Amino acid sequence: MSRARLHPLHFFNYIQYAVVLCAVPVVQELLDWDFPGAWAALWQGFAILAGCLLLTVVLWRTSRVALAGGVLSVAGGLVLWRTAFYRTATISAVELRRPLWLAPFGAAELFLFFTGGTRLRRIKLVLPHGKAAEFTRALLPLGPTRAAFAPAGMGRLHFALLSANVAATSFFALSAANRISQLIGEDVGALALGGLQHAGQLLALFLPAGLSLLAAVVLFFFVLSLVASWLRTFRFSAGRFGDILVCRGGLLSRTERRIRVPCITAATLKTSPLARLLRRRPLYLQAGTFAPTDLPLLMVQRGNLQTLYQLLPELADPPVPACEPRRKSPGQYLWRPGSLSLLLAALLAVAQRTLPGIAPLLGVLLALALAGVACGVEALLKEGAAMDARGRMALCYTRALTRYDLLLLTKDCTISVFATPPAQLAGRCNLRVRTPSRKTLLVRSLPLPLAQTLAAAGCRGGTRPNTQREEV
Amino acid sequence: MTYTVSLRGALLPALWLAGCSAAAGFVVWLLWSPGPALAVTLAGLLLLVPLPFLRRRRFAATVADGALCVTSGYFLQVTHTLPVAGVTGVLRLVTPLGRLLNATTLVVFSTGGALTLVGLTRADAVALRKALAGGEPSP
Repeated sequence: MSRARLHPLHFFNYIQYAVVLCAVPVVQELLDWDFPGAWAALWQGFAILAGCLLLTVVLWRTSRVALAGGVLSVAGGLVLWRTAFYRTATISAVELRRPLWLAPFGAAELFLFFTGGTRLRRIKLVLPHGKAAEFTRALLPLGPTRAAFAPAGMGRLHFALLSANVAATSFFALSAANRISQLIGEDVGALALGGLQHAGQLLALFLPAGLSLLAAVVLFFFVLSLVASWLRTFRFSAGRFGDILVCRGGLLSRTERRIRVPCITAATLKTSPLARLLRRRPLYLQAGTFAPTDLPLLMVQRGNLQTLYQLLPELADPPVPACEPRRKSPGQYLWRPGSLSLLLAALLAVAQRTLPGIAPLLGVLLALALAGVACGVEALLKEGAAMDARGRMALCYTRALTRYDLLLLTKDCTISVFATPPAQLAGRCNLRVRTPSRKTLLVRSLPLPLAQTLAAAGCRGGTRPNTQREEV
Repeated sequence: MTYTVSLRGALLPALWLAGCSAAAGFVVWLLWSPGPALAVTLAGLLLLVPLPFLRRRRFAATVADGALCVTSGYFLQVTHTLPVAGVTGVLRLVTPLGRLLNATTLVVFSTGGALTLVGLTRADAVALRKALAGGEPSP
């Protein structure tokens, strides 16, 4: 039986606004090098800080976490006494994270994910690091493992590139800049833009004037996301012991994930434009409510799936998605990127005569739209679904410029078959699958009988024939 | 085994609803005038407070054949069935008022959703929690 108290930082969420309220005037005075002012501001917020500290101490003293008899119980509270019991048999994955800001206090975050659920998806506990590691070991015990995947050298660079998420990093960077600007009262975004303008001027030596600033911004966020990804994938390794997959890594924020293999609901190979260039694809796993998008489990080289099958033989010999391009509706795949391309081509033609300054920018956008058309053609030729005798469903679908090859291992999902009257007449439909991790996948223009068969076999229930929309 | 809501257990949500009615009346008083505020409070008290006592008459939670079956509702009777194997967690909430009335709120989380049971006695809540989640007593 393991017992522990939650770390006092677990309760920081309750008092963070009060702490920020007290800390902001102090920081502002410190930034102005006004130490007496900072001291006065600290004294003014002393009562609030003391109250917060007292509340934290009381909550910490009353908190209890215990693991016994297959039940993890978490208790605590001040006026409202709250005791939660979680069945360890329904835990699909555990994540132990030690971020930079918790490490100096000897704390770590423990995330528990479940096999399914809409209201209870995951729980987060901040515990002393030793206790968090002890609970992780007790929840999903692991013996000595040999790393089946540990990228090094150029492989490491490829893995970091494939794990980089430019959109998410840009969003977080902009949010952080906005938040810092609000707190310290200085426009951090304007300062960064000033630096980017200098980089833009440098790039203007090689690029057309309209493109240089855009290229500088894209390059800046790409490098930022690559650095973040490099730090996340530091000493990354993935291995398996019995029915438990484990992956570890990270420099500033050490992360260890343990996943119960029988609880894996889906495995996705993501073919992004960068993956096409590198001829390598990252593999993402879903296990119940656990569906990380920040870090893949491993990276597979095109045509070489040995590492993957060595680690996860459950994924071997997947069914090949059936695809009948002749029965598909090309318009469904091509109308959006096609119409955008035509519009941009027309704008480019006009801009070359009237506004030559923006022509290079329109040219780049047109190239992106044409890449979308190419991906639409690929989707027309490859998108499909199939199921094997073991009940595993393979889905191939495309979103924007990325193709996803997904193997669905669970039957705990919602399958919708949707056909408009003209599509029903042509004998095709869309198949929408919603997994326990709340991811919705859409496969377009499937033959209607195939979709109905998949819906019937893929779920425990049956289908209602001859209806336009079927929820199974 | 069947679990029911005691009279004091029904008093707990009734008092919550009475508090909500009073709060609604207070808001109307602040925004408008005392007359409508009194009307809103009285209407709330008359319409809402009896509901938990009516609901209690038809409430029954049973754990049998590997499923939790909860029947509730007076005017509109609803039966929820959750397979015990799908239960991921159970949350027990005890408020100071609940401690006085020996009433507990239990939230049962399952892979399909969650079910809230208000007004069970503490002993019934512990027994139901053990039947659903198993394991040792609370820490």
